[in-house]
Amino acid sequence: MGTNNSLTNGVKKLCESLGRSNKATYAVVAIAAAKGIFRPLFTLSDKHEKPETKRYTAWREGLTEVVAIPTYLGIAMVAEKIATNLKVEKKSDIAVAKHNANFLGVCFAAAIVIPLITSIIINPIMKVITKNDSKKKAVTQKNDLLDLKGEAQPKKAIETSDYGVKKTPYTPYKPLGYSFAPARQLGMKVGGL
Amino acid sequence: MIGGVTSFLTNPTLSTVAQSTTAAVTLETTMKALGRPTFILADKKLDDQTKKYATAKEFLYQTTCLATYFFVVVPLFKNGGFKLAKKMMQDEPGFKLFDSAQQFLDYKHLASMKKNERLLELSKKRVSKKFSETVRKELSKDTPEAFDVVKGTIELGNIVGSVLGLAIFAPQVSHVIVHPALKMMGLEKNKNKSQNDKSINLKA
Repeated sequence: MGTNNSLTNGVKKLCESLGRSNKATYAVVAIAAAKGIFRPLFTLSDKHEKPETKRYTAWREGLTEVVAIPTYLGIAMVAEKIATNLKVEKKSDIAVAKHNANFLGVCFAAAIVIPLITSIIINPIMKVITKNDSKKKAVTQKNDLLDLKGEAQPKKAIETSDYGVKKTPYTPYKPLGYSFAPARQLGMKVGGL
Repeated sequence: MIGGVTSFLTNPTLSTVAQSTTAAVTLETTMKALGRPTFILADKKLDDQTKKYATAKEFLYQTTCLATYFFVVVPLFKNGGFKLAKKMMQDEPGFKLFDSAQQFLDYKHLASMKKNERLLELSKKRVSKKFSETVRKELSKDTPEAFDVVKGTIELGNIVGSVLGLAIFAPQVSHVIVHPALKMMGLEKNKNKSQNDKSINLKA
């Protein structure tokens, strides 16, 4: 019961504050945050797309929203500051001007600033990400190739020790540079040369 | 010039629009639908075919989002939020006076007018029949009550609806619409064909 009351009071306070002053930034930042999480998730879960394309698109979508949030807040803040310096007849007009400037700042950010920043910043970031991806891919391919080579080699060569004995978990460890093998196996010449 | 900027920024009509979440989201999405494709078209690093594809895809995506938001999300969450809040906050005087979110928004519209304009509007039968006697009396005052909690309830419902609608629901709808539309426009080919045609950068 007490929890219900405190929840109702919390919602009431929030509604009262929103009713008194509802800035455009509240909605657009909330939407950008949710889009930044959900759009990449939806893209990654798309079964019809290639994994490489999915990763690229998901990164791009997520980064766009990451860029959008501080841009909205920054531009709206600058617009509000400009509105504060306006010369008005009534003091109450400053509050109205600040509110309207916040709204216009959001529109300006959505139409021009965010697409501009995105087109400048995203491409270099995406290049770095795709470079790392291709490096990882190259390493994985190399490992796969080595594995394939390993499979192609005769099993005997892997499983037999330097002594020509079948390797078991108990085969003694042979330190590097130390040889206990017969001279004929090491190819020693007469006179030790 | 400065006087013009000041009067524009202190314009009460712009203030009413700026106070509404629906207006803010609608305008922001419209700006995205225009701005993003324009910047893609201006990108000199992309080839023509990729530009066309990316521009059409972005425009269709934003337009679908806008339509979904306007025709599904707004009506659903504006009234849903109002009804839910009315149940939660039964003691709130504002909720006793209004039956629906639209009725309150009509009241708010009249309340923002100057007194003589408001009374003139209220004298019209089609306007006055929307409200109860108590609300009409309130509107006849010099400064009618703002009912911030009721207004905030509608805005909160709109914000929640916008987040769920634009981040979760609209992308699903646009996914169903955008690809067939791009195919119809000849910008996206069938899978078998597109595998052979690598000239379009689908990542754009």
